[in-house]
Amino acid sequence: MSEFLSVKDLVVRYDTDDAVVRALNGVSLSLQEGETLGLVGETGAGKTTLARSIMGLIPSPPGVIESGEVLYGDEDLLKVPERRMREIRGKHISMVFQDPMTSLNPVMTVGEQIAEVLQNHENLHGKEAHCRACEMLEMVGINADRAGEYPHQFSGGMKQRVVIAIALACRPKVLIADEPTTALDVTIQAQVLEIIKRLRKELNMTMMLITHDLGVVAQNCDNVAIIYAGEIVEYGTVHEIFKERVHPYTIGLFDSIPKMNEDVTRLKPIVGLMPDPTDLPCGCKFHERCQYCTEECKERVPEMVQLSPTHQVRCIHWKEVAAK
Amino acid sequence: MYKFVLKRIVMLIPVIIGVTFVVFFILSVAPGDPVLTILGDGATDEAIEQMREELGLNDPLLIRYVNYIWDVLHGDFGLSYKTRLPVSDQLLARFPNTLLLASCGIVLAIAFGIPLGILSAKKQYTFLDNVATVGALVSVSMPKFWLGLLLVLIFSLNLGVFPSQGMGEGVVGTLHSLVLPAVTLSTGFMATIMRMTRSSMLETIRQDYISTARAKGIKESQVTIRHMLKNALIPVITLCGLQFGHMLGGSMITETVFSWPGVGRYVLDSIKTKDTPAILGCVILMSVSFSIINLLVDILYGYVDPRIKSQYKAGKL
Repeated sequence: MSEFLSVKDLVVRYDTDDAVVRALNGVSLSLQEGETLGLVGETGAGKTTLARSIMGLIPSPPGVIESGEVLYGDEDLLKVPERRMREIRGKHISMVFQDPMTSLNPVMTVGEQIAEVLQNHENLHGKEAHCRACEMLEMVGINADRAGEYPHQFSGGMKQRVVIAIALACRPKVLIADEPTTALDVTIQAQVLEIIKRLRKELNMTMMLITHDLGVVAQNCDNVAIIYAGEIVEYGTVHEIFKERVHPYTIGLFDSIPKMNEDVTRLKPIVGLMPDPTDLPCGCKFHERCQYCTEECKERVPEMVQLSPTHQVRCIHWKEVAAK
Repeated sequence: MYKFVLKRIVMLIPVIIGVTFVVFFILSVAPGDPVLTILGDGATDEAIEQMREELGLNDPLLIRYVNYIWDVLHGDFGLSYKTRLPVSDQLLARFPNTLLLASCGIVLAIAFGIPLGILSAKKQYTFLDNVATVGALVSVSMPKFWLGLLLVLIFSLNLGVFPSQGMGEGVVGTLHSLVLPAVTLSTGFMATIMRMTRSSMLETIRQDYISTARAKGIKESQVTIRHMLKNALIPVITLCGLQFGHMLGGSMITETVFSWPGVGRYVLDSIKTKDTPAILGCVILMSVSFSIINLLVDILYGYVDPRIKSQYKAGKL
């Protein structure tokens, strides 16, 4: 297995009129071919910014990519010309967006919207593209007869399946799914995830699954990266994160899920709020909410500690935490 | 769809009855006697009385109104008080000229307004956008009579390239004489259309489906035209329809400045002489054309936005 897609020290900020939003502060991760990586974090942690950076879709202005690399094969996607980037988007790397209600163009039929990718990347013309679009619809479990209908004639779950069909139409090597199930209700979530899982196997895709649902991660991912305030705080295999987690934030995340085998009356949230990205604290970004916090944490930015070949954590006191 | 169109056409009837009644009523109670206008100040009482009887002015208001509508339904708009010629002939002769001027005006306004609006939205807050914004502000604030006179001064008197008055003969002559009035008429509308296109485009640029479209790897020009523009078009179409309706009835200033033989100037002249049949004829023509344009705009919505079309089909609108 070779390193396939990797992000190195990515720093992204948004310049607004009255403040600088530090969205990503040196994120590194890598995906092997065929791997599924789960990216977990709170709202505003920088998950979507990371996904958009990989796709080259950071709105600019206000977005600025300060430094870092996004390597796909031996190309740095942050440096390739727009022309090449357009070839990569949709053909090599595809993205599924969060809200299916708004991510389809309301004035085009779903068939046209799927066919558009095919016409663009595979030089297919009218009829052929339409046939392939119908096949794609069948593949995500929608009757091909409905290709001529408009998004408003579909339910939320079906719209998300159409979005998936668009993303997968050219059989991309990498799929970035940005909270694909957040806007859907639970039964539909299961269906959509099932489809993604099935197609991922069929097409042998590498996938980055962005979510804040740890259950989804457990079922679908090989590796997990926990992201907090624009930094990865813990990174490891599903087993390592679920069974041997050592970062206080990761532990807090898991503790906030009510346990089935205990009688719980109150949820156990992590105290405090995520820091304001326009005004990040010095030192460890989590120190204000951390029960292990010491003076050192307030001053020194912790570096990534390698615990095993696959397990990394960004905490000064990880040994102490692990001992508990 | 047909049902919807039919329904809308039937709805025209109350609109026209309402509009004509209001105008008829206002003109009847307004001061000034049309008979004196026709016969002049030196007329004898006998002649005046005879004329009043002839024109049916001695009947009660409602009866006069019903008689008028009855005649209109038979295609008879009455005789002009001033010229004693049939109003319908006058309207038929003048309406095509107004239609021509208005069509050229709206085409010019759309042809420049929409592309400039798109450009302005895509390059928001750049030098180009600022120039376009200031330009739009200037063109909107410029009164038409002033702009018209300015154009006449520059292009007719100084440069001598376009005629300043009237309508030329033949196709080339007509087009030649059309340039200045059409430019005058379209400038303000062009600016409004540009601003509307800009703001509507800016709204669609932020939509999620634009990200989806970009993620497909298609060219930015395709994203703009296929995905943004079509979605941004609805308010722009509404605006264009309203403006075209206004132009059809209301290019009075432009027509007067350039002595364009159209309906706008005719209605203005008729109002000056209190020529009731002529005014009523013009008002009916304007309200009918305005309503028809609006109907066409509503039908056009259905073609641009499938969500509206399915509502038409379901009979919800």
